[in-house]
Amino acid sequence: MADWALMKKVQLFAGLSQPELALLAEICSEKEVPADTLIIEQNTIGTEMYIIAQGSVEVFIKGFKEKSILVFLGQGQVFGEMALLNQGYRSASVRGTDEGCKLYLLEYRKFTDLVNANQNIGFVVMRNLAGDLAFKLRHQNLAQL
Amino acid sequence: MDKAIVYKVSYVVEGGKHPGAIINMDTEPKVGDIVKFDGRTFEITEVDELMPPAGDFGFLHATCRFLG
Repeated sequence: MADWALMKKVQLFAGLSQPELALLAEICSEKEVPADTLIIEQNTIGTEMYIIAQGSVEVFIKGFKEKSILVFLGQGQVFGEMALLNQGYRSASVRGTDEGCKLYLLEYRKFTDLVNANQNIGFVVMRNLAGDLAFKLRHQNLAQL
Repeated sequence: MDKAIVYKVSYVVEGGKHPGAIINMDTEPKVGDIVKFDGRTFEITEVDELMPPAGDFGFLHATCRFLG
């Protein structure tokens, strides 16, 4: 179960009530990741989203020739979030950085069951998910200047 | 008591050769602040609003330069 006080600081869950946050925290599991561990591999099937509770990760893609780092994500950020929309192939790989990290995992199936029972949670999270993706897109555009 | 704002910050490094970072901060970043990510140290040279604030969240863009 996740620490709901920390979940209050995750933009994906902004606008949810305390009882709604507690419901989400109940279906999250915790995972400690040692330094430099591959968490997600590009082009594999993904069924869970990750929330960074402590530490940081690097997000990267591998082309034909070389690895390209897209962004570093710190506490309170999410990755693998497209698994909440579908269960398709991961678009990038994610690795824990030198300090290691603590993550909360949110499984697609558990999330779907929860939002089917409480559609306000589904509406708020999906609205915030669009905002998170917009933020990442704006960051990506600016980082390339 | 003032409402606590979480600042979601897009850190971009001058020169375009570093991918930058996205990090939540409990205090608003300011020009001259030192920030660390990717095991490196940076100094903030500019701060702008990236998206309008919503609820308890502010969305900022900070440009930084590599220090070491």
